[in-house]
Amino acid sequence: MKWLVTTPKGIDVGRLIERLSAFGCTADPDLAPIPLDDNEQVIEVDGPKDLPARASGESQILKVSPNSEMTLY
Amino acid sequence: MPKVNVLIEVPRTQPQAFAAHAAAVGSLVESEKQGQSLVKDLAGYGLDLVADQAPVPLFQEKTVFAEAAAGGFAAFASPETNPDTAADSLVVSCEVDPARLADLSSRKDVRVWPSSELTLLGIEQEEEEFDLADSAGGVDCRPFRPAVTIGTLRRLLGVRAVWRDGFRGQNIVVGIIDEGVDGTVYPVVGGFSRPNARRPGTAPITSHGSMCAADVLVAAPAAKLHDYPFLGVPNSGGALQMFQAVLDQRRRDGTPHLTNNSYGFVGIPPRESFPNHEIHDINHPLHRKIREVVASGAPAFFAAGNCGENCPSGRCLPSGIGPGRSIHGSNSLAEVVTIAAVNSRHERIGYSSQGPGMFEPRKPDLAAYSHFFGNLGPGRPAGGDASSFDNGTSAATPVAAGVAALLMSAIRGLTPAELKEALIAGAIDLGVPGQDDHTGFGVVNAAATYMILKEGRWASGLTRVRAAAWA
Repeated sequence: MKWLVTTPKGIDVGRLIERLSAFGCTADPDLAPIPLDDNEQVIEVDGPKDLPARASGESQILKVSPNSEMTLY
Repeated sequence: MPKVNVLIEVPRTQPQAFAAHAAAVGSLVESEKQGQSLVKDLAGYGLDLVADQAPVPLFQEKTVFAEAAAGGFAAFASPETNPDTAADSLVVSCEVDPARLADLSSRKDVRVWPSSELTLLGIEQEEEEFDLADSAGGVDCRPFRPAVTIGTLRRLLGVRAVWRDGFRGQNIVVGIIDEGVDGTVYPVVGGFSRPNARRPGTAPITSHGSMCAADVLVAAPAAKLHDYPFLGVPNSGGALQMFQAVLDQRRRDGTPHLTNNSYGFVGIPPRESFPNHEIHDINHPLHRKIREVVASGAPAFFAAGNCGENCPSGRCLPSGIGPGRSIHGSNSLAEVVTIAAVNSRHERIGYSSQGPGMFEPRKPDLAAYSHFFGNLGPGRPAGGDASSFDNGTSAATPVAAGVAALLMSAIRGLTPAELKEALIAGAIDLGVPGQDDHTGFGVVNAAATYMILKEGRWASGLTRVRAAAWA
């Protein structure tokens, strides 16, 4: 399942992805984090269906949001 | 279905071409005789000759461009009458059954050309009576009414009121966030793509994004485009990346000035199982990013969706069909301009999604025209017969975005909120007075909105006054 993980800016993204890999997550290394306002950023990962629950204790993860498929109208 | 006008080029040598043409112009009988002779092998295609248009000769290029002394057309510049000339082929004006057009076009012994409607530039057209539904509105469902031309849309939109003052969308860049645009046909001057993805401007002419590009240019033919292509199946992460690219570009040079977004969701997952889904979470990163882009001064036009209750698209899931369930996700954000679809008779197209929106209840905001020959159709860039036309709220949205681009080229410095307010004030209201769940505040109209903006009436809070009067 595809997810968008919101983190604080300035963290070591490589290390976070390494920690997420323990939950079964993978990330495209070519995709840079996308900034959200001055304090947060978003990374795209593939991960398990229960990633929000698994990641809830991670201090460097502010939010896990679905990265859902859309349809061209 | 009405027949369509075509020009049929028949390769045939005609020794005294000017004399033969003069005879046909001078006599309807002779014109018809020549025409019938030329198309006698084309029985069975439902052809009707346009008898008052005499067959026209075409000449070999080696004849036309030869030196004057060798009989080339440059000799016509002399004051004396020149010898008659042999034609290489003749062109006959016909009307053809649209169902047979593809077969006719596939023949090797003739060439079939579009005979599209032309407009006299700079001359006021007489007031045209449109075939409009009554003011109570109506619904167009399968089988849909026939598509119309771009010329009809331009008259309905009143774009010439703005064009007459010299504005055609120039110096405005519209960002097309979609599956990509064919930059060999449409004016793509920039954009963004993810690593290893399709580059801006490299999509095929048949792409959904190319349709959006064509439809922006209905009202704003001098606008330019930035192409932000999703590749494959679009998802919110891809859209998030594209909106960030828009924001990056705007930080550098203020473009694109607005965005077109003709995509979204077609069903609603249960809130209890998916509380953070884009449809339920107004602070999903994609929605936050869209608000950032609008806050930077770039209006975002979003399609309402194709899940209206009367004849929803086959892609729609039952959970996402009908009033209150079909406008959701980014297109129900208060900050964006949400566009429903009507046909040229001002009937709501039955698949157009209906409010209330799931975030902002007062959706859609406006309606615009769909079902017309823009990118698709006879003589259009992507081709096809009369059953192929630009459709969906996907087509209506770039028509509205094109009107916005046109107005932004004329009235510089409009904020997204001011633009939306002016478009609402200038809209042609349908059905129940005021905003409604089907067509919002009504159909966008360039002429009326332009007058309101020129006179500065938008600054007087006209929309609020109007909305209050109807409350």
